[in-house]
Amino acid sequence: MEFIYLLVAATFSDNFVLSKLLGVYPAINAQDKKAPIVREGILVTIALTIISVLNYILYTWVLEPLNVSYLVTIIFSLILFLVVQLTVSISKKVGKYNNEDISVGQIVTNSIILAAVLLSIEQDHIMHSVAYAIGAGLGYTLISILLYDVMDRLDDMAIVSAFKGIPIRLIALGLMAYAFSGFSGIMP
Amino acid sequence: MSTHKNKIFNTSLLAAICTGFVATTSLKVALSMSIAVTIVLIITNLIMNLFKNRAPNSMLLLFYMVLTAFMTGIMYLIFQAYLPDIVNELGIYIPVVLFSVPLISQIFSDKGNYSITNALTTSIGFILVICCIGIIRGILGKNNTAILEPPAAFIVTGILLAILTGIFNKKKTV
Repeated sequence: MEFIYLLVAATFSDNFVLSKLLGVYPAINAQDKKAPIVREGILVTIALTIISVLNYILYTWVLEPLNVSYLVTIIFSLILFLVVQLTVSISKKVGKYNNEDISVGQIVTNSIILAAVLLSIEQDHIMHSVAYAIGAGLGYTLISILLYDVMDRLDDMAIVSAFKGIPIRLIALGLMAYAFSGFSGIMP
Repeated sequence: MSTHKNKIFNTSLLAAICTGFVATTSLKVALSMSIAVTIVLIITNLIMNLFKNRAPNSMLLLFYMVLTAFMTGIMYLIFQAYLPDIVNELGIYIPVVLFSVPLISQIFSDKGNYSITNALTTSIGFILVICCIGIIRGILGKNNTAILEPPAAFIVTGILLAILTGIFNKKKTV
């Protein structure tokens, strides 16, 4: 029950992009097709889950008993590089698509990953940290897809030229955040 | 859908600003966080310039990430020692912002090659824009706590970026 509660909370009511203001740029910098956005979201979710499991094990069994928990960012950066490199190259081998559009740098710079890992190593059970990581990745994917659809309609309208591009996307994201804050009512 | 190119804000500066939203609740928070980001960015780029020619090219990103994480750890300890009220307010977002912004300014930059010029331009722009948002949210939030909530950060920043773009483009054509 706790698993489902954490998953739904991290996806909707406690969404990382809208209520924690992280990973905003990769979400608003949409590409011209929907498939790369979905693909990037899935890659982020998979990488985030693996990284948070590895970090949880290292943190609770190695770093905390030795009393060196301030090393967590350095350990995190090593694991992040390794896992993202592996995930991207495996997905390129398995997926067989023309892959100019996904690079290591694009996933590494997503600030959701570090925040979700640092929040999930404080959970009291390893399954809870897995739920938190999956929820964070799913929430990010959901927001990028929704924002792509909003921008697809906004492009045909007449907007003042200063607002075109990033500013109107930020304002649309803000209105979406007000709408999503209604989800906090479904939690017990 | 075509991505609209912005003239004054290059890609790395925009991405850095979007990452730094968390630290814009007041002027004090914004100023201390952006100065910390500047210190991390410049020291990391200086050290990278020494190692650039001696390391294999594919491993440079790993070196950069580990160096940034190292500097982030040191800055977080300094924050805990001297600015405990900011640590109470932001918590784990301090290492997140300190770690992400240098990586973003390196990976999204057009020039590449770990140049100090790029680090300086990004950090000056970052300080200016983040402090502007901090001042606006700090002043408006005194009477109206809705401004201090997360969704207002998007709207304030969107309007501010649009105003800056409008002013700058007008001056350039005249």
